[in-house]
Amino acid sequence: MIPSFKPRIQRIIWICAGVLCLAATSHADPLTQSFLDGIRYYQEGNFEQAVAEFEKVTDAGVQNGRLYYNLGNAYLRSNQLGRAILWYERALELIPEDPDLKFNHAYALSRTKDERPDRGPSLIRILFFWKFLLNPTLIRRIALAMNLIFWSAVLVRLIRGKKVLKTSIYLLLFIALIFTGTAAYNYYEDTYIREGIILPEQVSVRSGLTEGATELFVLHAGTKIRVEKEKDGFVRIYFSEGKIGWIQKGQVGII
Amino acid sequence: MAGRLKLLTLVFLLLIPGALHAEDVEVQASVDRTQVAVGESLQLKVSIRGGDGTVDVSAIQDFDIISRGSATNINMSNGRFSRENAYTYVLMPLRRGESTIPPLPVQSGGTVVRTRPISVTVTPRSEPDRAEGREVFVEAGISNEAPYEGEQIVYSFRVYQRVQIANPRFQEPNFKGFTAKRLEDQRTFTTVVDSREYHVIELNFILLSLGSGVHPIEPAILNCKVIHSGSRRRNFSDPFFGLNRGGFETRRFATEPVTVDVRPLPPYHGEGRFSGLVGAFDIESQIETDELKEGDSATLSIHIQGIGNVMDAEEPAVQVPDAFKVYKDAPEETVRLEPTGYTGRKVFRMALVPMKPGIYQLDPVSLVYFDTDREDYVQEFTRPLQLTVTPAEEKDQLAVVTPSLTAVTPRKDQVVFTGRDILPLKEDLDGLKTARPMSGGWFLLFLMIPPAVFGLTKTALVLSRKTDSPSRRMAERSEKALREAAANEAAGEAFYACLYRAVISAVLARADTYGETLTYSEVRSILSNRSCSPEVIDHALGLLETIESARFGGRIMDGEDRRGLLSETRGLVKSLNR
Repeated sequence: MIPSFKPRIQRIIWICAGVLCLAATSHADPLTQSFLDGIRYYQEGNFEQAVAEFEKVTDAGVQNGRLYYNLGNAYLRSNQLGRAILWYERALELIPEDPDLKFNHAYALSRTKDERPDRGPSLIRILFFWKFLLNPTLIRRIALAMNLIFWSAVLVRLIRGKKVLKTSIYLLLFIALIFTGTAAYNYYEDTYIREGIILPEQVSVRSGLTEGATELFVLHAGTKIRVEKEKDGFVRIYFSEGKIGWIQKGQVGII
Repeated sequence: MAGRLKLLTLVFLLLIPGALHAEDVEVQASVDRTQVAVGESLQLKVSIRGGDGTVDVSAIQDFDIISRGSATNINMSNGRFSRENAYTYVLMPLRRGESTIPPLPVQSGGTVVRTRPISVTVTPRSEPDRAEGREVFVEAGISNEAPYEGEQIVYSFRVYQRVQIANPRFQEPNFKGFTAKRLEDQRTFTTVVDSREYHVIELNFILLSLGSGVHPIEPAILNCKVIHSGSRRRNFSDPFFGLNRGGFETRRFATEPVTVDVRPLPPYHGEGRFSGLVGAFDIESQIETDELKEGDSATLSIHIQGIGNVMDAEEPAVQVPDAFKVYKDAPEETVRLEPTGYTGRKVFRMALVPMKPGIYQLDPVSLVYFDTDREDYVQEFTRPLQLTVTPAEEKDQLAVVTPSLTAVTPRKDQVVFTGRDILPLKEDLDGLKTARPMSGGWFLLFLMIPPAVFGLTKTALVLSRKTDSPSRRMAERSEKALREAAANEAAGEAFYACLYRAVISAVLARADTYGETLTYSEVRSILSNRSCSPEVIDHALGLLETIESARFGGRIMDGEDRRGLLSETRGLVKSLNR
């Protein structure tokens, strides 16, 4: 009698725990519920609904790279390449080193139609290679670390004597200045240089602020452009050297 | 006999000008008929009597001047000679209806005389000439009236003749909106039209449209002399450009205009990149060898061949593994102009040099072109190629006998994608937490913390040093100099400098003041003022003298002496700092 009693007790405990978990899930806050619903819809193949649920979370002001990644996936599955790349780009600003994100972003880029402007080895890219090689978060961290090490060395020198760590301090100062300057420029870029993604399947870039203006060239969904100015419901975009024009504001998603 | 006749003629001609009376220049223009059908010619004659003159026919706009000639007639009437210069022009009407030969200016001497205008009625071609009565006629046609943009079409100009023609002058139309290339070989054949046998000469042009839209092609013109059937029988063996003298009529034949409606290519939504080729093509790849050694080269050739604008083919995208260096060659183009159009091949070659051993797969190369028969885009692929690259020094390695090494090294293949898809969602609830990147303000704050700490530390140190008395600082300096002297015992000059600084600092510590050097009298004065015993004062002065004489006087001290001096100094400093 006693031996059969223990497993039964254990089973009851497990069932109670499961019920409690279910109850906890069913009474989750609305954002959590939307997030979980988004995942469920995605896994069921209802990608449009998954997009709607994930966007409820982003609309509530949540800024998270993993959430943006999920949203990018849902858009990609629902064949909205432009919006998928837009959300991947937004995610890259938050979790630039995430391998899944980099993989899916590369896959989405492979499906775009417009050839990216030539980004071959220019003098700027060679001279400031670290700016293009390292992501802004890493540059920021290196700048702070080098700054800390530099001032620590200066402090040691102050306490221990003037002849200590002389060469090392100059070297540390140089590196700290380089990375601090790069981080400052990255902040400037984030603040003043707006980039966007073409959202519709195909967009005519025109010479003026009307639909009747001359079509200069055509861009396709997912193409990254720079937004230079905004006027009367149109934005002036820069694609590459010499390829500038106007498109409707709603046709571009700001990263 | 003949020579004498020539001499008489020459004398006669030389005498004529003198025999001619001076008279007024009279100019007259006339035509052989004032009604002419389209395609028929008329003859204009401008006669100048009583002098020489030049005729300006540039004012004639309604006619094409086919040929021109001149003759001089000398007449004798009532014992008087008169001379007439006659200029004859064969004119071909350019349009139907009433046409005018305007007054033509004739310049003779210093005066300009004008002919009277002549009206000519140009009638449509008569029915018998259009139908079974035709002995010569022309027509033009195209192989496709509604080609696609970039599709090649053939424009044919045919001359049907039952009689011989001579001096043909073909005026090809201005193929506006096309690039046109004439086939060098003309085609000749015999055909039956309306139960009559004709010899046909066909000239062909290959046209490639420059853009979509409706492009009219103007009539082609043939000017020639038609040999009257009564004067000479038709001879099929006589070539088109043969010349025959006899009774003839100058004629102008024009084809009907042709209109080509060039259709734009439909939008392309396929996967690969559209090559721009329109026609029928195929693509194939060849590799010189599929087994080679590391560092050797193999030539990969991509052949694009077919009918159409093959010359416009761009280099297809070839995915070569990273382990290869690629050296591209200039493309080779072999394009022929045949009656069906451009046909040929374009070959792109590249040398592949493997840098690492292994087995490599070259993905199929695709070609997207517009098939004019299917009226749709077609994507063709080459077959996949496999390359086996062996190590460059394989034979040498075998010769050195490293069997165990080669036996255990597994052959490695490059990992390639066999399918493409995205990775799954991130299901952690971490995705609900806002995680913004560090803001500029926070970055600046973190940046400022270390210098702030440094500043505070330095301030604290400065403040703490201000509380130190000179006596204590100099005593510390004295101790420090002793430690340095101990460390530099074998270093000579530095050793004595440290001992000197230790003694002087100790003396200054007693005086509670800062300084670097002192004279003997100052040392004596300080120590005596600080209640030092005369023995200590003498000891200090003696020690200073010993140190300075060793330092500056070149007094040689061995290790034992230096250790003794250091010990003595340490004792003095200790007693002074007490």
